[in-house]
Amino acid sequence: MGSVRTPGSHRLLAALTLAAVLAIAAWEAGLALVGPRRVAGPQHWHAAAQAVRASFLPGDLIVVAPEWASPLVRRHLGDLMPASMVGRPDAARYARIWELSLRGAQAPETAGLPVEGSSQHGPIRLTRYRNRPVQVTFDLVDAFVQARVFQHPLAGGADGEMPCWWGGPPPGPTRGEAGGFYCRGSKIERRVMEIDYQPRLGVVVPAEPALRTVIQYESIPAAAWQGAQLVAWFGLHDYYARKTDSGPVDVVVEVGPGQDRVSVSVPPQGWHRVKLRPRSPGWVRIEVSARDARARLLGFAAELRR
Amino acid sequence: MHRCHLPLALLLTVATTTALLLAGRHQGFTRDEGYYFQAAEMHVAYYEEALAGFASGKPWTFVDRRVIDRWFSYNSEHPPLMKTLFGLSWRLLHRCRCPEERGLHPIAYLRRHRTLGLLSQGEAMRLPAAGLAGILVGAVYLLGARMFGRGAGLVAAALTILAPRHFFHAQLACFDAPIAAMMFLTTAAYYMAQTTGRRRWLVATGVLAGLSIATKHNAYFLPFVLLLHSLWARRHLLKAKDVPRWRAALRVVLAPWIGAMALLSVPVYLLTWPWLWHDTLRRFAAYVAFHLHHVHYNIEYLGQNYNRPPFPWHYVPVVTLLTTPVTTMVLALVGAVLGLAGLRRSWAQGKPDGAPGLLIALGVLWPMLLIARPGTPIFGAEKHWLPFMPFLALAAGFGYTRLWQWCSAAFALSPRQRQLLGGVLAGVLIVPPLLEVRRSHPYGLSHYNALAGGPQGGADLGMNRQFWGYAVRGLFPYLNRHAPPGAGIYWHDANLYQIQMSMKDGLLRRDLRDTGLEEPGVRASDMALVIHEKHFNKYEYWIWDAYGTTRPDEVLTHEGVPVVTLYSRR
Repeated sequence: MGSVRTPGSHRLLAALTLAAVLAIAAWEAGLALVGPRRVAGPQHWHAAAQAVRASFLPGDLIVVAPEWASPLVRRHLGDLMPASMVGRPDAARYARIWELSLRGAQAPETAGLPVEGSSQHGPIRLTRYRNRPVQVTFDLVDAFVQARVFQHPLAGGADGEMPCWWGGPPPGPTRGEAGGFYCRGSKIERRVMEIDYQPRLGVVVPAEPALRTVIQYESIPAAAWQGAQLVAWFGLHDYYARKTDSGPVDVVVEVGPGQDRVSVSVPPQGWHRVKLRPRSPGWVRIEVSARDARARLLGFAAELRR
Repeated sequence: MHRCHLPLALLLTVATTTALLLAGRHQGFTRDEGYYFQAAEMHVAYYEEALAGFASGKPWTFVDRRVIDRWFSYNSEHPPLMKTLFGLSWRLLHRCRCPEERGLHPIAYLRRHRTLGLLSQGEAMRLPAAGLAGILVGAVYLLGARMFGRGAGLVAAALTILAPRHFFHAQLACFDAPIAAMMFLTTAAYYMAQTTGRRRWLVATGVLAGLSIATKHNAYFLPFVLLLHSLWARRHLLKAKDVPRWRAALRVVLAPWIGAMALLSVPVYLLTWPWLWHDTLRRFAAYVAFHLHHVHYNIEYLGQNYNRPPFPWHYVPVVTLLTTPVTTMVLALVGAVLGLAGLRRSWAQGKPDGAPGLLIALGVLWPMLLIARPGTPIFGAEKHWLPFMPFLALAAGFGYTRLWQWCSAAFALSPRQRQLLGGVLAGVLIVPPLLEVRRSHPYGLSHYNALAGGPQGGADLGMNRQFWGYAVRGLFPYLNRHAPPGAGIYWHDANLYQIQMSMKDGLLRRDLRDTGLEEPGVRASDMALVIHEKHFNKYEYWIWDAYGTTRPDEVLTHEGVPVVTLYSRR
């Protein structure tokens, strides 16, 4: 090799190659030795958690970046992070956001928000952000048990209504099967759903062949409508069901009587948001159907907010 | 061959096997091991029944279809060699308390086995895989020394096993490290047969090919790869004078190893697998069909969960880049560059040299290219192209030795200085991969290399955290201390048999109950685990629903990255 090179350049090339290989080996060995020591330990998490607890207020949100560290944060702050917070549809209702972050990561919820303060606890950066919260006047997931749930054939219009009846315990922790509305071939229940691999507290509506399932909220207080808009989110629950190659789920959201209506075709991926602006108090109706209903579990969350 | 080669190879074999066995004491049992433990005991039961038949005047018991079906029908979607070896090792070496372990074995044992009592049950099951990895390391040394010199052989041997993912798999009573070893051994025997022309290497090639396909189905592709190499390595036969061209071409194609492989591999394969002695075609077709139509598992890659084809073509190279020690890859790159630089000279000379470079290049590339096909079923990660590892290590060994020779020549070192540089360089280059292995243990599948930024970097990149549920082992001490008596545990992806082996080996309390699968299992449990993989998130949400809290009791981590999270019903 290098027979045409001068001995000097030959020597230089050999030296540079050797130095490069040794430098890479030293870098890898150094990281192998130092890397494990740079990790946030229980004492760091504990200190950061104590700092949050000292100033945490009801209505605050705790977020984690990167997301994979979430169990470590919940290990220390899980009592302040109920499923309704961790499985929130978005962060709009929270006045202050506490972000615990590693490795310079930032949660999407805090992008662009003004910083109120921050502190460092070993490798953990704790930052508090100020948010301009919306006021939720009626949460359709919380009020799920008050809804009227029924089905009717897709082909028969509104004729042939088949009611679904509540069975089992009210929503909440239980050792046995959870409660829900039992329809002809499905159960509609409130739970923490897995949509796009994210937790979402909402209502799961399995699509049924040739049937339209309707969840209708008829007893929303008049005060909740004043100046409010209806925001709803939709996605398909359960990765295993999403793996099945059936089509989208068709959803119709209607504010009535005769006010606003929107149709959404919900694909397997994503958490899709729709907004409707009611003009006066009335009812909210969510209709769910699918041309191919195999393994289609629609999940939704919705609220009136201003 | 130098007289120190064989003792050194033996030393490497014993050292590697011992290191793997010792490391394995802290390595959790995996899902697939659970199934193979069951099958292993059944295979042993077959041989015991066959031997008992001989002893009691029923010599044909070993071919009796009912006997074969009783012991071999379970897990017949995988060939038997390793399971049989696991079982024989267990039968000979385990410390037996089998009669007191009712319900923890596939067979009810009324009496203790007479054994040597040297190892725990799990260790005894794992010994053959560790031993084969040891033999692989010894063989890499021998072949590397033959191809490029002793230094190259030593460095290659060390780098073969000093790779976190290979080290992880080599501890397990599974097939992935063993098939890497078997295919290397077959390739090495083939190379020796090609370069020496000796009959014993031809026989070894045929027998090892049979044992390889009795280990795992990857080996079916090996003859085609060897044929490619053989055609190139034997091309000089085309230039033979006084031989008709067609005859010369036939001599190039019909190499002796092909005959040896064709004659010996199939009988050896059939001999190891009594299941195929009856209804052969249908059973073999069912075995092939299982793998052709294998269900697509879930694997996270760059933040996305894949469970349906097409798989990104770059999955294989990127995962390789992020999991193999960087020093090993750089040395292999140096070896490839310097090897290519020397190739022109070798071609110009036109001498038959066995084409070791081509053999190594094929050995590295074909296992990757096979899996990189977008339609190849998705059911795991780097373990499916693990056979590339010893060849990559050989390339790295070559890179080391050429770099050493080059620097020695460039600086006109004295023989003593050359020796010193060679020794120091080898030692320095082996240290980073050694540290990587130490750092990764016992969560090798959660480990990513310096390019990825370590395990946390791998998690940031959205790379698969683990599979096979082996990491639950890390929570056994906590469960042993804190679980109420008779507590019902939801074990998530850890299966019953791996939990049973943990109980048999005294790692986990016997009173803990398995509450079963899926959401009913979660709802019935007192404590529940979630093993972190992207597609498993929903299981954690089930636990939140059933327990009414998102606050875990304990989070098991690997360098700060959650691996398994444990919840208690309060």
